[in-house]
Amino acid sequence: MTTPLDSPAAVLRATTRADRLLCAAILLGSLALALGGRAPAAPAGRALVVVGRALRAELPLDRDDVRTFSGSAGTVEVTVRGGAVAVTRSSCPHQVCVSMGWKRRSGEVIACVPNELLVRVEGGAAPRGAPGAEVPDAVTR
Amino acid sequence: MTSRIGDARPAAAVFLPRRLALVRALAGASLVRAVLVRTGLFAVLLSGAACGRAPLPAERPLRTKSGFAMGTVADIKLASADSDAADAALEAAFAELARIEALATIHAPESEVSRVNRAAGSGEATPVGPDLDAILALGVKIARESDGAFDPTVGPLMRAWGFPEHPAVPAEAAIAGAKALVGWDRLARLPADLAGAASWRLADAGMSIDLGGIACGYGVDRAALPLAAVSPDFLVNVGGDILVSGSRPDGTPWTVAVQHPRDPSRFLMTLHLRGPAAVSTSGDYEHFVMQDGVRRHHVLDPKTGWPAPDLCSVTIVAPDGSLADVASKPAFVLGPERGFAWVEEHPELEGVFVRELADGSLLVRETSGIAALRGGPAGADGAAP
Repeated sequence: MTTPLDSPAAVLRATTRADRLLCAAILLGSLALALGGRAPAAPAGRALVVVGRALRAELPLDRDDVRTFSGSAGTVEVTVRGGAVAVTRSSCPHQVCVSMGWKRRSGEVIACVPNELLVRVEGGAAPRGAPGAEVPDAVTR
Repeated sequence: MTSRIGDARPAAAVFLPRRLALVRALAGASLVRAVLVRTGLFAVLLSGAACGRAPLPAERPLRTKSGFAMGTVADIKLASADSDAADAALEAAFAELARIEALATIHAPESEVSRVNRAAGSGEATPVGPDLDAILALGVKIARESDGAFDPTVGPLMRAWGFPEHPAVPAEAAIAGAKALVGWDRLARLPADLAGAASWRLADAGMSIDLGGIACGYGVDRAALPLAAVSPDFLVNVGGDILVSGSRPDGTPWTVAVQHPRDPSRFLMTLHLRGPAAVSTSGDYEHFVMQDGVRRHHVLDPKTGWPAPDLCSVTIVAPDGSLADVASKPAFVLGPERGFAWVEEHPELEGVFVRELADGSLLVRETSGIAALRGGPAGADGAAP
């Protein structure tokens, strides 16, 4: 014999408590699987500034900032602006670090060899080599 | 509108157990069935979205370490599921770079190469370890094959020009004096002694070895050894001397861009490489001084004592870092015709030759194997130099 189920009350009458618990468990499980399996939101990137072998600063890329660091050959100005970081001024002779421009991708590096200063982006935009990333894994120069 | 179970009941529903009465019941209720269908579909979609999202290469994430090594910046990437082993391998790779730098630098008086230089002209041969022995042996081999376009004894000329720290155009007499002290055929290897150590000797006082054109590539090769013990997929980049092994974590080739010689913000092209393969570039734009509008750079022709005049960059692809690094020098010095022919004579090498014309435009010429590696834009103009 069949029962018309044209109202929520009829549905409730036609099912056992265990049925309802099973249905709820399936729905909750699906929801948890979807939310739990989702990639966590990307944290705001940061720029690590290393001088010699010492970590001198961690600069959040979502906060504009200008900092000056003392290196082995003088001073280096590191600027964070609009989610990217650059060496904007340096006492080094060839200004290679200044010419390296703005970096925002995780893993990208700016180096001032004379000052032994390294700026490395972590947790920013997709890293070099990531699927879809346009930047190369390395540059020969 | 309502439906009833049994009106058009799916055959499978007949066999549903009583325990799933809800499903059976809802299958016949239009309002609730719609809800069920939507909720069920929602659940399936959610599950599918969670389970079927694009697979990340998280199984073997790319571990990266950057730092200063061999007088420049080193960047090493390693794909490995074992983060502890990967970190240890990266540390070992940097330690290996430091070890090679320590024995090959001319700036440390007690380095192996400094001891050979200090004994120049004394008649005494200096015992060296297997690394310096291998570096010098390859240097002499390439010097012989290139008829001296590369010369590991170029030290006096580099000093006369002040490269790389304080470049300045020297007087002609200074160039002539330095040039007289350059000659790979006056660098001799004595066979290994009973302890297995080879010895090297510079014939004349004032001669000196400068390994700036070869040691970095050798260091790249050595740094690869601890990485290879952990994973087949890695990339070593020491100041633009690059060695790749295997592929990226997602299985695609490594991408190595060639610096545009006149615009540091641009790439000339991108090479797609599956390792083992190595890439090195010699260019006139890294270390130079301008004299009357003429760029005097650090890629010196050992025979003339002056910077090689005809090209602005040469990129070499080779099976290993040592060869890529050293081969880019004679290719540059020999120039657009002879250098190109020299690379083509070596089937294990490929090359990209870039020449700047008077109007500032670039002419790019590639050996035949480059096209299969090139993924980026074609060479600036594509015409032969």
